[in-house]
Amino acid sequence: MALLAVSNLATEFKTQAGPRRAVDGVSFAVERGEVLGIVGESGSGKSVTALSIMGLIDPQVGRIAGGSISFDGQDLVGLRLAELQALRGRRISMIFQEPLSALNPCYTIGDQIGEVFVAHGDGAGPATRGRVLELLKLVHIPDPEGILRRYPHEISGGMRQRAMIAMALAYTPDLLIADEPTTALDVTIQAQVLNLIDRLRRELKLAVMLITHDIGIVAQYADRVAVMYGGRIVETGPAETLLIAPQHPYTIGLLASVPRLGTGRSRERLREIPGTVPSITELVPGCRFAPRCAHRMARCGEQAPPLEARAAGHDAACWWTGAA
Amino acid sequence: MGILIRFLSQALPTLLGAVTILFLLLRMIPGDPAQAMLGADATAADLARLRQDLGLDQPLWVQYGVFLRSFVVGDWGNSIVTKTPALERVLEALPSTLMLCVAAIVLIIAISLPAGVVSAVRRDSWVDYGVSLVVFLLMSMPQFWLGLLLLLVLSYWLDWFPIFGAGEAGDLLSQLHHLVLPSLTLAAGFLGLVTRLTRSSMLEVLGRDYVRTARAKGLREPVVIVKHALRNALLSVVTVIGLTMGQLLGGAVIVEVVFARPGVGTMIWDAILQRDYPQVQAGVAVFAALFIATNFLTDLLYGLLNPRIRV
Repeated sequence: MALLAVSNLATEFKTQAGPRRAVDGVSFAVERGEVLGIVGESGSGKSVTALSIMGLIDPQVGRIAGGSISFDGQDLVGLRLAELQALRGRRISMIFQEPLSALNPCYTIGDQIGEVFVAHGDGAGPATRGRVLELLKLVHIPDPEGILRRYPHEISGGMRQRAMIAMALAYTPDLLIADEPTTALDVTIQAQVLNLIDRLRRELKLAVMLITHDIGIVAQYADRVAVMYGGRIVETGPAETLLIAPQHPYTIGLLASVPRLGTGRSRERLREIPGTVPSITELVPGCRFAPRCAHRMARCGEQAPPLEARAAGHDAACWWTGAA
Repeated sequence: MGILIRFLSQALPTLLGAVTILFLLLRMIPGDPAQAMLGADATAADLARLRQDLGLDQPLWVQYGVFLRSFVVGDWGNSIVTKTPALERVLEALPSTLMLCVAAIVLIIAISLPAGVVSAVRRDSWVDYGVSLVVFLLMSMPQFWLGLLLLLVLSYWLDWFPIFGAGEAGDLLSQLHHLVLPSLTLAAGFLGLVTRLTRSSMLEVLGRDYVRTARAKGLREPVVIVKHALRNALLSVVTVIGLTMGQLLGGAVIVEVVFARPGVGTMIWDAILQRDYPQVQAGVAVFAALFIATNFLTDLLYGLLNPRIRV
């Protein structure tokens, strides 16, 4: 049984035109110890999927409208808040895009990490301090004793994200959701942080949901990939096959838009996908990528293509089969 | 050390500015102080002698110099009415006024903070609308009118609270009983302001990423709201409460007069009616000093609360 099995998830938000689905019928699974990369442009529903799993959709503005999220056999949809709270930070952890805004400016790093233990009934005190120090060493923070007493604004972006990771790993969760963990960091720091996550997930046997808009990151770190567009998964499969033989025109477009060095084609113009990601109030019927697609057919505007197998474990949702 | 430098560079110049304005204001009041002191039937010779005694025949800048010197050495003159040192009378009346202001602040904090937090957490619910309604009602009532209304209903008709005075000296219960209506009246206008501000800062803070992080850690809602959200929302609320403390002093004049409470407010009021200029001067100068002191303390408190500007 998969550690996490999301099935037909639909999450909707209130808009002026009525409820609209930011995630619409998404299904995927994450096995224990596996890295699932979720790729897509901003607004494709990646973060909303993650927040739905955490139960962090603000009930004032949105809700999970359907589907199930099975975590270790337990459906998280409709779970009582107290039960969700017992899972959060302990068995499922999440790290966010911008570590400066994700950390509370009023409390020290040590306080904010130690708080995870307090939240789960392990109390504060010298023992907790020792555990926090261990965590800081685990994420290779130099001078952990000093960092413990620092406020978020007093340390660098890379150190902050390491502190966030330490916080997320307090209880060695089964699942780590990393939502664009390096987008706000310098390129050199990005690699350090990603390598750290990769090393830790091997050592601690974590399953990771790595959410990113950067298909290059997915290529390097993910075992399997799910490509999202307009609140749906348009293609999913093992990283090697999906990246080498993409089936969906959107995936093909994403890969073509990655700049390449040293291929002798450096003078070639960088290719882009025409148009922009639709907002949730302007989603079209049928295939949502159709308005931007080069292989659009009459059928695309009428009927949404289902996810269908193209190879072993490799599915795509597209009427066009020309890529194969 | 930093605190001392800030006190010298901020509080002192402000105080100097305040007493200068006070000096000029008193000289701008129409009418002749000598005439007011001696009455309408004083002779021209008496008037001239008194003007000379008071230094009123000197040029303005000389008067200002004399005024400043005596202000600094603490010689603030005698009350014309009671002939006793004006500053002493102010200091005697001060505890009652401070008690009123502190009671009002306590009410503001005890009512506005929870009301603002609840409104924000349950935004657009009937609780939120109810709080908004009450708050707007309180904000739109003038203090003297609300005071009279409370007196009429709760003291005169229902006889729950005393009508005037500050209570028996030494009897804390009686003093607190006398304090309820005046402090409520004084607090009323600011309750609205602080509740609305708490609500809006909480709404802003509740949308921040670190609140989401706190929830993602598995913290329970009360901890998320109080420890993570309110703590940050307080940064702006504390500043306004501190500034409110200064404005409460002004409101205290009206409230003390309406409730016939002894205090610096009633003293200034009576002194104005009696043209007792030294007494007005002493009362207003002490108020100005208190105003500056509370602002300064607010600054320090803000620095303590906000690690990003801590020195």
